[in-house]
Amino acid sequence: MIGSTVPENSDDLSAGLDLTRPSPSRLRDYLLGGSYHFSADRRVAGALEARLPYVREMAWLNRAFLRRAVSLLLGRGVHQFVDVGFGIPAVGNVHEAAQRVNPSCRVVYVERDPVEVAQGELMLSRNARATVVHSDPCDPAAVLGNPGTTQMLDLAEPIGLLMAGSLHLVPDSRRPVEIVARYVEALAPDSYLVLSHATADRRPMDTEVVVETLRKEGITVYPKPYHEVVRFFAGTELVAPGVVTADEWYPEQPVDPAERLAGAQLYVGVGRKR
Amino acid sequence: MTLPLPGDLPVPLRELGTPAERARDRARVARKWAYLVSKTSYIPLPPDEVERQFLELVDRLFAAAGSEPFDPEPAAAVGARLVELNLNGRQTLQCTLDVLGKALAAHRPQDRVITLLGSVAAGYAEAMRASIFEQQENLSRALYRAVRDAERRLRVSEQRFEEVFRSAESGIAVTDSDGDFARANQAFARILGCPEDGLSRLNLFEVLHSDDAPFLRELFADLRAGRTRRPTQRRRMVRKDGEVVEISLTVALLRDQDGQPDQYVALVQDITDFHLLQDRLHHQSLHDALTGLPNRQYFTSKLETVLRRADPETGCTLYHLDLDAFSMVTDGLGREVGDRLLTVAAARLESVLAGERAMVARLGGDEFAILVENSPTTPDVVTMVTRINEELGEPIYVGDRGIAVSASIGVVDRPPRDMAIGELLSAADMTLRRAKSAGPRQWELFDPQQNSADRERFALAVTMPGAWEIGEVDVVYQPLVTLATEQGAERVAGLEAQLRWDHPVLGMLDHDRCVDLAEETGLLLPVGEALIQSAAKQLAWWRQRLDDPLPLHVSLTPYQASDPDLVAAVRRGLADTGLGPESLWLGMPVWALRAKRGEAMDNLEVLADMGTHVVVTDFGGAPGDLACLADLPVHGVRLAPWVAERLQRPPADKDLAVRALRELVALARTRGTTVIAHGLRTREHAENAHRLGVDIGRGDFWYPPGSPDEVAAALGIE
Repeated sequence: MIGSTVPENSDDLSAGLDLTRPSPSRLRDYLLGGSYHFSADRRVAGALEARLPYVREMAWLNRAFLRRAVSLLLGRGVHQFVDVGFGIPAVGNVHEAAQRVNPSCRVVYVERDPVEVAQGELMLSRNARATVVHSDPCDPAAVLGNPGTTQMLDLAEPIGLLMAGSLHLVPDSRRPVEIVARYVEALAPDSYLVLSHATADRRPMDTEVVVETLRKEGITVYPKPYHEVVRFFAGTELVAPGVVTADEWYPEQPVDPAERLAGAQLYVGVGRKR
Repeated sequence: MTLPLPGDLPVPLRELGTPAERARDRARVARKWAYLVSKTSYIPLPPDEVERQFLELVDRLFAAAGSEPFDPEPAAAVGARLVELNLNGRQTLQCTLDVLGKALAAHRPQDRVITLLGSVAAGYAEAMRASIFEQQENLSRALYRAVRDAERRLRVSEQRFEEVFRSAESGIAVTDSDGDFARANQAFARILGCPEDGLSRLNLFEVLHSDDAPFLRELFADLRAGRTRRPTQRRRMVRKDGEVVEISLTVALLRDQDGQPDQYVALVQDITDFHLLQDRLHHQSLHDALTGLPNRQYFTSKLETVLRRADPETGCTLYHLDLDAFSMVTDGLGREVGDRLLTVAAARLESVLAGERAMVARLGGDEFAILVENSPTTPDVVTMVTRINEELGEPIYVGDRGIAVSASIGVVDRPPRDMAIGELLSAADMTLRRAKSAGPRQWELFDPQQNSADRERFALAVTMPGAWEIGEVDVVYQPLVTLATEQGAERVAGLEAQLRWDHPVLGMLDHDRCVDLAEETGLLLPVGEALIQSAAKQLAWWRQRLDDPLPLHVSLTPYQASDPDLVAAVRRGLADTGLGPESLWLGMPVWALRAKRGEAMDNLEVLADMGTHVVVTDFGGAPGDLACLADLPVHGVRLAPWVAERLQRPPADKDLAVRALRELVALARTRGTTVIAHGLRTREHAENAHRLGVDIGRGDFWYPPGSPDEVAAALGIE
């Protein structure tokens, strides 16, 4: 549920500098125990936690899903990743997870918030195999055509396209399903789409709490029902177990009740491009 | 005999047991620690990797604990490592100290444990500080980049620059080359403690601490000359009110359109708070976070000091308290009410002791301890105990609810000065248990005689492995019977292996007594494995003769059911005897399965996967029992003794308990689960059980427990 806000209609990439307003990515960073956040973000996190005690677990589960998905892709021979997660500096970044296993992995982060781009550049300054491109994640052609991307990745080879917790911040008016379809279309066969998306299917009252609390702070989340989340995977073959809640996707440990509640807020899935 | 005072003699801290036991112990500590802290913060690593890392930390810690000469330094590195693993949650340190405190508590001397925990906390605090500082530095640099970029765009959008400037939490000042402020933001004014409109008259060199001004001059010169240096520094600034503030300072040069040095940007953050953090964390390692009282570690070391130095005439007195029915408060009214209750109780205990030389500590959960260094005017024990319960008995108001509590108290009055601390604590603990067994709001004075009875029980327990070795403790067998409607149609359904101790002085001790004794000291683990081994061998022998694949039933204790080595022990037993896994029915207590850590549950799942039959024992007591059946691959259930006892009575439909029982058994059976009852005393009893749906029973009236020969005779084997 966390990433940076996506304006209804804007190509202005310098938006997002207002630190008095909470940002989804800094909120996520706070929930993960990072330190790139400001009082506005902490205030919103506090308001969420007061009404939904397992909100931290939501961020943890989403992050753990991303880590497990990356590890699955590594096992299937994917060594290049594009993270369209909206918001870079966080705990357990993709390049850390991937390069820990295979140091030759290459990672491109796509980011529109200038402060986060700066933060990402600093963080990655000593890492020759990871970079951040300042681009609108909702414009696949711009992202994949960006010199930063083309220099880092070989687009003729399989790519892991990571969209964990980002698409539910994209309003339907910007046609998120089409955005994903254009990304998938541009990728080589045997590329993978890794996606997690908020849903109100399982515990609608709790979802309502999150949506309402964030809306008051100017962050709009658009949860989707199961059949709409599945549509993101058009053009790919879903990897078993298909689209499931975050706690059900290859759990590594017994799931505790807080994790089960948190998991119910998030559908996740991985698809292989045919 | 006097014991050396702490510090007199170096007493190495030793772990007990064989190397294999120690390794298992450490693995258990590491696993528990990793599990608990992983609930306090997000760890970006796979679980097996996390566990490996924690095992390494535990090893380092135990090595430090046993080092000669003692060197606590590696413990600080352990604390620092936690921060590297992103373990920085509000509860992380507390939880770590709790786990490690308990793991090390078994070892002595206590002051070494305290030093180690202190080092862990200090290392943690230092790493937290460094990590926050580093991240702040990165943040400053990122903000600076953003400001720089915005500055570039200023020509396009003055407004956006204003926005960054105004809203940043860091102080930002733009100065000319002499340090005079061209402008500064609100955050800067806040750090300096002066009104925003007064900033324009200030100079950066003047607001810095006079010791730091020369550095800034050098920095300005370096930047102008194009020399780079570490951009962020820890410096000091002087507030308007004269107070010195620790800051992190980042300075960058702004060039004009022609690339000439023009202005400087200074980014400032107040880091005074980080120094406070360290003090707070050290306090945390010795105090309970909820009540603010000293914790067990601190109390134990204080106890040692006070006991040795107390006036021989008046001595000291140790009170060990436990709030009665505390779990009812938390279960019924919620954890928050429970926490509030503990806080108030802590304050009241302190008020009772006001004016005495005394320490009140929270030992954990609802347990408190009070140590009084007696003076001639100290009230006697009876007065003190009465006051404590009067004080606690005053209702505590939480919201509009008044809750009154009472305490059970164990008292050790004027223990001998040379008593070992461990002995003193366990004396207090045993006395408290005796008080509790008499009901709520009871107290007991330590009674060496009673204590010696408890000790005898322990002595009996510790001689058990030896008795096993020489054959005094042996395995006996009792046939289980399939219930049938017609008398005589019952047939033998299996054999249950049990322990029996033919004690030279005390006579015959039955299975339950043996298990209680062994469980008390944890000795049942080795004995339990031997039990499985020897019973499996025996079974193989009978099967050959009976030509009947009778299964073997073994009941595990909660401790055994959660033993990480259980699966391996069962595997060995089966492999050694060539028995198929389906021949073994293992009983696991239902409440061990519901326990939080899930070790018993893990065991159950693996065992069921292997093909052994798992029977949930003590079934029917609690609401969660049925959930166990639904969630786990369970083959059978064994009714709890009280449930089996109910079967004694003739089934009357009006008897609610019997109706509930029937439902329970019926529900269990819909899942195809075999229902077993022990302790059937008569044929009528067995018939009742059968009518209610029990499949298999055990009763002395059919077959009493006996040696292999006796059982063979009873079963008609030659």
